[in-house]
Amino acid sequence: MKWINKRLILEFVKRDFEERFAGSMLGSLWSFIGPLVNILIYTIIFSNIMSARLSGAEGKFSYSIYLISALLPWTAFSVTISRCTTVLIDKKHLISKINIAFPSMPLYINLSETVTLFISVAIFSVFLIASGHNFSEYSLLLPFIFMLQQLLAYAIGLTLSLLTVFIRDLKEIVGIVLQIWFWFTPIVYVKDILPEFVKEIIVFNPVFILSDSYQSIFLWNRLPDIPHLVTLTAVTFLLLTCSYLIYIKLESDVKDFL
Amino acid sequence: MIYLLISIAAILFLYLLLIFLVMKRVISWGYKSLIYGLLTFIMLVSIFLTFACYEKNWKEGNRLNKESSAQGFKYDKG
Repeated sequence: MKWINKRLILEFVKRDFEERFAGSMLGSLWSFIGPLVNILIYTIIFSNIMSARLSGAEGKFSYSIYLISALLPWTAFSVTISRCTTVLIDKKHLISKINIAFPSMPLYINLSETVTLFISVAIFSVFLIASGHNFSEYSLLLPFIFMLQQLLAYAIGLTLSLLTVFIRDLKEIVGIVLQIWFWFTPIVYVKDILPEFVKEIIVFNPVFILSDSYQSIFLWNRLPDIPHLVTLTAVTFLLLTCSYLIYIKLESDVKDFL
Repeated sequence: MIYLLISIAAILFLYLLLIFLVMKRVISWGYKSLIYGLLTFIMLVSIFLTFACYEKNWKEGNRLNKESSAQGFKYDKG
């Protein structure tokens, strides 16, 4: 069996977008309107109403940039994982009819969420340019960090999608874990307010490395921590290999359970 | 900056070329996916290290060159 069927996956991505906005008058325009409204809300509330500022950063929108630059990728990451968790159960009617490998299912969700992330980041970049923010040469790193992030989400998502077939409670557990994970990552607050021992262990949180990289590039115009990114790349590929091995081990059992 | 762009373009070109060559080979999908994964891992690490190298060597060199030429201009004028 072919491991990945490219045409089928692209068709699934297309259908995913169509299903999301099916029946609405504006159709896929909603994928632009949603992130735009989110960015405007965060900017108006934090910069204008609350007048939130970051120490060491210049500009009226510094806190909004800090928040949005990590929140948009986190949204893509968490939605990818939570949707992947139930994809095999949700699409079991398709899996039983079409000869498709299980890893293709989380992959189409991953691609669909990546497209949504790119749209959001494009709108955010327009907002940054309009507010007079300068981009550094480190912005060239962004597509590669996005790639690393979505590969990590894929590795976790594939494993969870296979395990959820046997343990249905995982869907609820993943929702709770993602919420805790969000608040254990300095996305809304800054790292400096954390106690010393937490600052030392927080580097083991992969989303912290990613969010810190985005904030470094978007807000501070400086190079992210490269040793951390290289370590995260190695961990991600280790997880990908593990998830592939789990898939090989569980493939026939998953088919029987579905 | 130009060295950085050339390095990124070279890494991406090499990566896509190798992916294309592996794609054309008739080997099982299990092996192919492993090779794709390995190539992607090497590509990402190379890109990150290129940026580290840029920050450490090329950027500093550029800044010093600019500063020294600016000082030289001032000195000549004075």
